[in-house]
Amino acid sequence: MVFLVGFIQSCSLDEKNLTTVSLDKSYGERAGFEGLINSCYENLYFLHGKVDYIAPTEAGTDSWENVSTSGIGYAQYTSQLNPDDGNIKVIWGTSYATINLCNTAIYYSKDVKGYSSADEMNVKLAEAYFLRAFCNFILVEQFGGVVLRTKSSIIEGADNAPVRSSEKEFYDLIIEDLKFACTHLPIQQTLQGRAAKKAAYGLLAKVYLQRTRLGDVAEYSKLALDTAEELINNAAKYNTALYLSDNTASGFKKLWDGNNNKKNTEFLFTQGIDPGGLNPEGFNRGRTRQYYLPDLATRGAEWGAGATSILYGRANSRMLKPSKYLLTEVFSPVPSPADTRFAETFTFKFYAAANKTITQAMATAYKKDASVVGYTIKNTLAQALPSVNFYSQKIEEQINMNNNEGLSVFTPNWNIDPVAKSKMPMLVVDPSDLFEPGTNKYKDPAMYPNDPNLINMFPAMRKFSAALYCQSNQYWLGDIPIIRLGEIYLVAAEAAILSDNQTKALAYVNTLRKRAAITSRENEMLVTSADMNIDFILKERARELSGEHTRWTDLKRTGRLNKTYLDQTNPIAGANFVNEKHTVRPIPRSFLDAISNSKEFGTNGY
Amino acid sequence: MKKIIKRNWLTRYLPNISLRMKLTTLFLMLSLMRIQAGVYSQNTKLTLNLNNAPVEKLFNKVESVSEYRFLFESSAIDLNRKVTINVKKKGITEILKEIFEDTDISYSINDRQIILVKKKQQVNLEDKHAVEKILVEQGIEVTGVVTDSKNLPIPAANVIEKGTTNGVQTDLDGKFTIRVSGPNSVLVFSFIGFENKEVTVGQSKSLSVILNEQNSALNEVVVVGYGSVKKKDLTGAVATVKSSDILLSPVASPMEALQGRVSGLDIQRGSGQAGTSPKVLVRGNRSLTASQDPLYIIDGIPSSIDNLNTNDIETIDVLKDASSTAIYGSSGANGVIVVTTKKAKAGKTQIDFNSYFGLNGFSSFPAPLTGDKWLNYKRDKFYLDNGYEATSLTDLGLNAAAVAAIEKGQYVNWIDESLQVGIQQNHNLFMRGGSEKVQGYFSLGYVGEEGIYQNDKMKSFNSRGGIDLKFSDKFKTGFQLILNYKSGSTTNSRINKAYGVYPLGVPYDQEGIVNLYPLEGDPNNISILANNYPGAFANESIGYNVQFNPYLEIEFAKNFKLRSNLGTKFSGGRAGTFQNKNSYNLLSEGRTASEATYNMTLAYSYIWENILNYNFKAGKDHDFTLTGITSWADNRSEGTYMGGNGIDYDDFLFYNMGAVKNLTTRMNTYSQFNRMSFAGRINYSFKGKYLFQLTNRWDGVSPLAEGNKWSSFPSASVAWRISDESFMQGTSSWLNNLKLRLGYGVSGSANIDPYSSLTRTSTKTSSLSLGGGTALPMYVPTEHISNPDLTWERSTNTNLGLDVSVLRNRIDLVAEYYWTQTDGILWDRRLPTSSGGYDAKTPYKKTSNIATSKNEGFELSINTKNIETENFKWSTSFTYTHAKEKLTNIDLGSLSVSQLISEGLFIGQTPAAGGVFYDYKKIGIWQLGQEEEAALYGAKPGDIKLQTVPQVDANGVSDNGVHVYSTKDRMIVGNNVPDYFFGLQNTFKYKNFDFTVFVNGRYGGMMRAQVLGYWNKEAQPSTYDYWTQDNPTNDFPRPGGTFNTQFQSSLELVDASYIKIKNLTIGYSMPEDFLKKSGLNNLRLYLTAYNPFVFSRSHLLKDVDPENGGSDSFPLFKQVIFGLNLSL
Repeated sequence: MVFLVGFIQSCSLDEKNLTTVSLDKSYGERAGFEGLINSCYENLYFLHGKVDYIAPTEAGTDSWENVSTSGIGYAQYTSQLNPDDGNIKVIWGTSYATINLCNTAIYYSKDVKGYSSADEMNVKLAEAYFLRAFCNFILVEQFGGVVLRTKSSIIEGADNAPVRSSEKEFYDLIIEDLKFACTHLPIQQTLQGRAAKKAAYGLLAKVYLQRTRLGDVAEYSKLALDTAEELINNAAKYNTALYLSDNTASGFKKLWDGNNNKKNTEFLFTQGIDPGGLNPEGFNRGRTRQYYLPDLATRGAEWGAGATSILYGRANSRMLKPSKYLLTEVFSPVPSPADTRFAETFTFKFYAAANKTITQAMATAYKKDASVVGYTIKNTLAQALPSVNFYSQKIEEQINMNNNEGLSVFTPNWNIDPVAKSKMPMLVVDPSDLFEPGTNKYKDPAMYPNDPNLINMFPAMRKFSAALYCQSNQYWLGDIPIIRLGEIYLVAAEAAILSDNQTKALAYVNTLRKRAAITSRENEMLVTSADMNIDFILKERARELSGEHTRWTDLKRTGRLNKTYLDQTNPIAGANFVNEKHTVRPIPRSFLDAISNSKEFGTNGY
Repeated sequence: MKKIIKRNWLTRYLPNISLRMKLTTLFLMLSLMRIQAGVYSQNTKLTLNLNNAPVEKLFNKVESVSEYRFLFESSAIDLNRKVTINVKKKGITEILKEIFEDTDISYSINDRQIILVKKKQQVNLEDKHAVEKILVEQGIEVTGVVTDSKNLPIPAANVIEKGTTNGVQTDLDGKFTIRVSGPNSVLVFSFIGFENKEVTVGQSKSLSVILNEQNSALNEVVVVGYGSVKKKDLTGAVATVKSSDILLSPVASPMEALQGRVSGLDIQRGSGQAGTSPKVLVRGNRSLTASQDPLYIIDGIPSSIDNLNTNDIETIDVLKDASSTAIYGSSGANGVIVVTTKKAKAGKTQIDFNSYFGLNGFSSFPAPLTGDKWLNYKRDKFYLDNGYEATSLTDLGLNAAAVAAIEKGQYVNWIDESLQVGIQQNHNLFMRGGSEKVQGYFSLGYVGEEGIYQNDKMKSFNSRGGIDLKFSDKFKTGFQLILNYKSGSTTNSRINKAYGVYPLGVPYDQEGIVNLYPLEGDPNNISILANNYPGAFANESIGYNVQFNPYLEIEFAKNFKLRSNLGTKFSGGRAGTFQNKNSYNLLSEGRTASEATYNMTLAYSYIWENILNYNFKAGKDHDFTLTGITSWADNRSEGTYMGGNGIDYDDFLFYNMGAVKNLTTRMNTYSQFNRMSFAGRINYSFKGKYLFQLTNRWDGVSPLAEGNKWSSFPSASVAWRISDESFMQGTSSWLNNLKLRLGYGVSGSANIDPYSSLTRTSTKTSSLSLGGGTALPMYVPTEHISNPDLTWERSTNTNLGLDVSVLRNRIDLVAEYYWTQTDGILWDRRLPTSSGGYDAKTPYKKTSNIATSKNEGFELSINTKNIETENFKWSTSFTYTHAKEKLTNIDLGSLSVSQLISEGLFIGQTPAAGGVFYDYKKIGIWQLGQEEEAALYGAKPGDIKLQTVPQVDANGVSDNGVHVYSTKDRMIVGNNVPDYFFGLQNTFKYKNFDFTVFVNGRYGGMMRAQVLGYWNKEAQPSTYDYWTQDNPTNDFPRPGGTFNTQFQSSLELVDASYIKIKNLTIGYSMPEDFLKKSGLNNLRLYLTAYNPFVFSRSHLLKDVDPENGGSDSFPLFKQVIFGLNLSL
């Protein structure tokens, strides 16, 4: 009995968990509430710089083709694009996970302690509204009218039979949220990755413009123009500015300069990356470039290039290559254009990672002139200074850079005379090697059994790969712009065109075009108000924004995401395109499998 | 007090267990009326004064003032007979003589035990002197009768005078006559199926010898929860495995040694990684949530089986049905495995040394394609990928270095290069002994295992020891101390990489060091063996476990005992990893900053249990035992984890985390689980023929929601020993035992993660800086969404058992049939992702009681002694298990289960998570000539042919399954539950040689075999029979293209049936005279081939061991070992 009494008294079945605190306690206080707001950003790191966001936003447009089978579902609208696709699952999961955290923050904001005023709290809360809008915008554009959640499942439970909302309802909430964010977000945040007013205005301008695809064009194009102009006209106030050209470098070049990356004046909303590795998934960030690489591993390596190059990236997971339309129609196929944007968007000179002497066998295989045999392409790989590469890695383009003596692979977007080409001591692949004459298609190597197969040697999209932040052959730790001021100029221009204000449109377009050239060649960039139409804007957007995750929605907004347009610009993307089906993505199977009304909810036609 | 034979509690704690088992031996001596006076009985003098008191009182008195204990069959003695005795300082013999003179009771003294039986026959006590005289002069003639324990004569039994050739056989009535040399002669009695018995002739001329059935299973003691019973008194489904069978398998984990030896116990080794514990499942899957592990009770304390050396085990008892496990309440729902370790006995000091040493390896795994076959394969693949023929090796993705290697014929089988032959060893020393008052033992063991990958190894040191102290008859105490240390290192799986690289290059340089770039001149082709490069990679762990388990036992009054056990445990571990720029991961990503992680865990727990036991007799035929139990358990664990990169000196490995420049991970874990329990049990036996048991246990646990924490788990069982009935007497010549058992019970489970019932806020372990150099705090809701209704999962089990022993126990059969229904099955339901998630890739979970499952099974075990002669013996054990398990209902409110594909739950299928294969079902490959039909499905010849699911359109018209393959064609292809599994062991003994063959197998069921998942890889396994125009196979489609990749997962689903010769052992025991000369008790040498032959039912699995369920990260291997058993 003594045992029993002592026993009962000493025991308790209460749970103690010393690594957690209760919801009410944590979110009722400022520290926990702000920790929750911080966590709302985390999942966004699954998008930019990761494979899951690349094909769904860039492929299947006029700009890119898939390499081999990777990304084929997006690039060619084949059966691989189906509810089991992994990319849509991540985009869906990211959006809804973030929205739920935002909803939780909004719920708890009602009585959180530690703020001197509601206004002070709203400055913080506005981040949640901004991020909720950001994710709902992704959802409505990728998936159409899906589930619009305004409640936290932590508080009010999960919804096992969710219903769809209309796209307009999505837009209503997005716009409402962004207005709150525009009002309450601060002008400037300490951390570049945190949303400030400029992010909210930037996103709101984009949202208004995108909303025009649902009608009310006049209303929403005006709103878009006004919002964009608020930013453009008060850029300094919102702590933003375009990089402008001087006589040695274009503003566009400065925009992508590694030295400007971490305090970039043009980035409105940024995926902020700590080069020291304090990021979600640590150093495993910024992998975009490896999906756009040419075949440096075999063809390139034969000419001295490094396939696992830290500078160019690791060419083992190639996915997208530029379409003929993008290379030769959007960008001018000339050797020295005033517009620096081709050169700043693409790497087309790959330098050697080792000395490489051209052999007779190489000359024969690649139909080179005998004069190049015996020529040694010089190694350019060397340890970089910390000012060149933050990690002081051994990278290319450090030595032997005079007169292209270390150039091993050259993939210009202009054609070179075949005889001259055969005498160039490097692998040269120009559009005539890549594309079937008279079409917008890549060559079928089977038709050219006597020529080397060069269709996988193309310029590589290089926007997210400034040498300074190349940490490994896969990881790049620069900041990634999610919305930037340059785009807002084009939003303004497009909105102005929709509002029949060609003059205004021209001003914004020319401002942006001028800073794409060095000052001495600015005049070559100027266009006229006659050019101010949607097709021109779309091309201008491609020149300015290729690879920046806007192309698919741009086509969708402008009504060009259809079979006719794709057949014309990039036939491989149009071949399977069904207008009624492919303007939204399949609903992820994992979600459908988990709800009770999956039949009614549907797969979006997949 | 009286050690009444029919008891079932605590007897295993008593030092006299073995003596009780020898009771029948002692009956013999009664006929001789020979008093064996030990030192104790000679020196102990008693004073007694009792007037007209019942005999029982006298016994109590004697036991209370001395260490004597009375042993008798309760039916034999009239305890109420009144006696009067008044003696002062008299020896026990005189007292006994006075009491039992002129009664039909004879007595015998064996040290402190006094055995009383009814006299079987009158024995003349002849004049001592006269007898001796005769003996001395001419030897003596001895007559007698040999019977079995039921007093039936044994004809043709051998009676041999020991040390001579003098011998006779008994006649049909079991009688014999033999002339022996003198009273000191020893007669050896033997007969097939019975234990040999040696009897010293002594003064007697007439012997009545009872032989015990050999290994008579009925008299074996079986451990049940909080006590033990003789097998014949068992009411539940309990199976016992002895140390001799466990030691046959040269494995590190004791449970692996039980494979195929217990019906209803499904054991599979999932990985060949060194030190891996097998997956153990008692009576199938019932629950959905992760843990289906049984409860392990080691010497009365819940413990981890992994800390035991197989040599320390005396027996393992497996409690299968709820009537047996209910006493453990919630913890016992998945079955209870009770391990009894070897302990000390009073008497001679015993020293055992067991040791073996052997090789692990010989793992066969299909080689990747090499040579022209590989190049042809690549061309086929290229054509389908690209739509045109490759014109050069460069087109095939081969660079100059690869082409050069091909020209030089430098083909490599990376599977062979990855695998090695490792060493397996186990050495164990065990010493034990003691006096009546103090006994002690200790064991020291070492187990070393090297896997089939370089650097995959484990070594463990185990020690356990204990002391039992008997202060008085009323008070006993003792403790056990266990110390384990384990260290190991492991490496990443290589098999899955071996098919993904060029089968080309030079793997090692001239010094035998790994070539980081096996293709000369190609810095991009990194060796999959890079982690074996000196200093490149380390993944090392150590673990320790300290347990101190004291107990005390107090007898308050007659038959009223309390035992209090305290089990304390303190364990922890450290895991460290390190990789530098030469490691596979860093090399392939071009990173140069060395990385390290350091992880420490600490677990501390205690369990305190009090067991109160009272047994009594009501009238002559009613035996009762009452047991009351309280239990309190508190388990906690903590951990800390650090990881980062940027280490200037590789010499630090992971030991200097301060040198890590970028600390990217830092976190703590904490977990606590408390349980409080009360239990009671009543055992009742009527005439020893009708046995009843009633138990109830009340359990409360901390992880469940408030208000649902407590539950009670009742059970009842009954057994009927039919063979003891008078109407069965006619069968007693051949039927030794026939018993029917019926049990019913409820067990529960709250096997969920602590903290699942309540959403709280935790910190995120990943870093977020939003671009700054400081990690920002992130407070997120935990993964589990609150469920205030969370309660117990309860299993209701009915068990019908039949025990039969026939032909003098030469055939022993146990059959069980059971039905189990589990209600309120706990499930971590993944919530629809539209409601958010813990992160983008992890949905929220809600632990809920959602489902019902039914299990039904038939289990059979048969032990036979086929041949039993002096020189040759052959025995067989067979176990067979057939079990059906299915989910019968899933209740998710408005949700219908057919739509819950994401959960992997399907009514009518196995309840285990991941146990059902919902996928495409391959039915073959489209062949030439089927182009038109194939086109209807979007396929071409050479493509996978699938079974489709008919789709019904809006008008209700079915397409009869004719449509282009899509995700709608997924279906339940099968599940991983076998129809049956079995084990069959044959043991042969010829003179000093022994030979054992153990075969086990599984039939039915399906698995996802990763080895079949390398279709279309860089160099797919050469065993794949893939389709080409000239090879119309149905095994694998043509490589390449985009069509088949969508349905590739169907290639991996395959019949999982197999039969294995698991163990072949040949042993030799040294002959008697060698042992005598060398002073040894026993010395046996043996050779074992473990896991040597596997026969898979599916031809696709040739060269592969399917036991691990198709995982290939660490393939299973074969072993050859050499060992010795030595005792002094």
